[in-house]
Amino acid sequence: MFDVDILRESIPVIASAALVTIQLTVAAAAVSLTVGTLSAVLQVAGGRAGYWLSRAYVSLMRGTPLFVQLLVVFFALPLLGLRSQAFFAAVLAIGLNSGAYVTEILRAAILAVPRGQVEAAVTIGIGRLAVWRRIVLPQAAITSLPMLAAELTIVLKSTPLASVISVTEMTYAGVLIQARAFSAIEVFVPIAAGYILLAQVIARIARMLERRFEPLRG
Amino acid sequence: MSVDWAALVPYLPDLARGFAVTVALTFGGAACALFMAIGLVLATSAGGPAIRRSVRIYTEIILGLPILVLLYLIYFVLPQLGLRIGEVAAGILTLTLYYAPYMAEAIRGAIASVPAGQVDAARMIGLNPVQIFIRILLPQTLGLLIPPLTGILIGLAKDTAILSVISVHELAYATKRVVSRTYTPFEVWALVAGLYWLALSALEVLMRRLEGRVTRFRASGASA
Amino acid sequence: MSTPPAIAGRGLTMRFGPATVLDGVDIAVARGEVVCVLGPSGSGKSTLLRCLSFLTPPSAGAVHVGGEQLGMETKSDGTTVPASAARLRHQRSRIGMVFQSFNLWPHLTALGNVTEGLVQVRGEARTDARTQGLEMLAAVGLADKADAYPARLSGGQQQRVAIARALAMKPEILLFDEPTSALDPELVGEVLAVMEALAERHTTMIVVTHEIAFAAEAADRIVFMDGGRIVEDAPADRFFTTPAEERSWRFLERTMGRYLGLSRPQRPDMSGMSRHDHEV
Repeated sequence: MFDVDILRESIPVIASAALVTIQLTVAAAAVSLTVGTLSAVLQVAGGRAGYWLSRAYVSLMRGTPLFVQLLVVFFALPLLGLRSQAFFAAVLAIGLNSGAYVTEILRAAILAVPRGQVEAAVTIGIGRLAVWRRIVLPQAAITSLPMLAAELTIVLKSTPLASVISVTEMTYAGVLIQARAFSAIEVFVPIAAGYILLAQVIARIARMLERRFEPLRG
Repeated sequence: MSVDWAALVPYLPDLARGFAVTVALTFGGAACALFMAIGLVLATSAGGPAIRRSVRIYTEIILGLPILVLLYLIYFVLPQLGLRIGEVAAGILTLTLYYAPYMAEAIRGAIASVPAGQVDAARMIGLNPVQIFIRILLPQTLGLLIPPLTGILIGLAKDTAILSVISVHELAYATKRVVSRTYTPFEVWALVAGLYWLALSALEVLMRRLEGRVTRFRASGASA
Repeated sequence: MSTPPAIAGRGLTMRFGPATVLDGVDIAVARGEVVCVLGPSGSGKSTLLRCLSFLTPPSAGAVHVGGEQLGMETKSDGTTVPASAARLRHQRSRIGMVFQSFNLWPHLTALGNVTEGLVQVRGEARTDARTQGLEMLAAVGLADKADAYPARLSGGQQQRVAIARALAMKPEILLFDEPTSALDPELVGEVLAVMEALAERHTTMIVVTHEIAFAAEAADRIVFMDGGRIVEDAPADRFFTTPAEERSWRFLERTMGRYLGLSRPQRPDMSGMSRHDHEV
């Protein structure tokens, strides 16, 4: 039932596709964190227009399936005059999707920073931007660390959807091998193990960071 | 950007049929997952150490496993182990196995807010674990339970789109079929995104109403 | 031996990790007897009740209710095996328990709390359960509060509902775990009054309490515990006048002297008696 030859052939392919999965995860997380931070700041301090812009973005991203978002982004790129590149579209779609959740996480954390701190900073003459960069955001990042780590795991778990636009990450590599070998068990069991392993790695790193920043938490 | 929305009108019935399947999958999958979640909660609260450990390992696995991979494991690997399974059954099974641990976690969290003494009192009266769950714990925690369950339900509804990869004839699958005939992928996918957004927003409003009703009942109940 | 005790614990031991909270306790209560368990906090009194009710099955030892061992059942061929969960629930329903923190169910009315067991466990019709429930509430003086939710009741009223809830199941024995400790001082009296009425009607009761006056008034027997063991087990009148043990005497001096201003109990003359040491 379990063909060791298929396993031996598929492992190197899966391993190199795992690299794509990791790249996809890291790149999408970078987009997510950037967009999420901007959107959270916009919502808290961006005036009425900023607030509604951020709300609309969050609602749109949370209210539609990532599966559909991937295809919309993938097919929108050519209309915008960009060459439709699957990996780029996947990073953009997964990153924008996750950014909505990061917005919610950071918004709550920003609001939890006592106002007195900001006022204290302003009275000693620190500029508005510096207050955000040096006082509010670092604290928000530390308090929301566990949730951001969970969000990173979700990003990892979202990457297989990139297979619908033919990005050869770990899951799509599995589909391709499986179609050729006519056997799934030697392919998808190691792939499942690979994802669980990567998720464990994220959890490990998150715990390490949390412990490191523990003394700074209120 | 040249977009011809009018060209899509003839395909609306196809999309409507797909939408109906999506709704059915959502509520069918959510019902099965909720059922299993309650089983998981009861198993961990009333079961022996071996049962508890297996539930924990299963939960751990699901937390790290992408739903698409779970779907492939069920749809491609199960038949190899001698278990033939259809597309719709595989889809429902995937949604159930994937979402039950999340729901169980939400239920466990809500139940933890009930003082342990209430369960002691119920055990002394002779209520069994199922009665304790349904008669004592659930009614008190319903208001607490609806917000997290709403989030999970919406996640589940969105993930039904993934089932299109194994040709379950839901909305995303219907959309692919339409795209293959109209050659206007962006327009069609954007339209369908709007449809999902409307439906999911409606679902969210509905659940918030439900929550209001549950908590209103509690408030008026306490003052009676 | 004619009739077995209403409830008997033998060699009850409870360990939590390295700590031994209950250390080989033997206790037997006859039908109609009222026993008060006294002792400093942390002496294992509440744990004793949780073991007797099998809410927390003891690490070692056995509990018999009316001669039947809790948690065990005798098969038709005469062998004894661990009881099924359902059997244990049935056995436990012969015991009623009243908790320090009342533990009423907040989403049910006073009447709903009292009738829940009758309907769900005993399978009685709602109308019958209602009649009985109202009777029980009347017995604790709360007939007019039947439709009130616990949040609308005072602590004393809540505890009386909890007593009615336990009584409704017609238990053979009632366990009280510090039933007045969570109450404001002015509400203690109404609960103690209900318990005294029960004692007068010879309800079998074990009461863990700090209310020395109640114990002196209502108890037939006093069990004094310290450090997870029974230090003294004596008829109430003797315990309060001539306790046999040094530690009992010191406990009484502290509590009675401070709270009640009762006459100082005579220091027992121990020179002539051979002290049997419970700690051996």
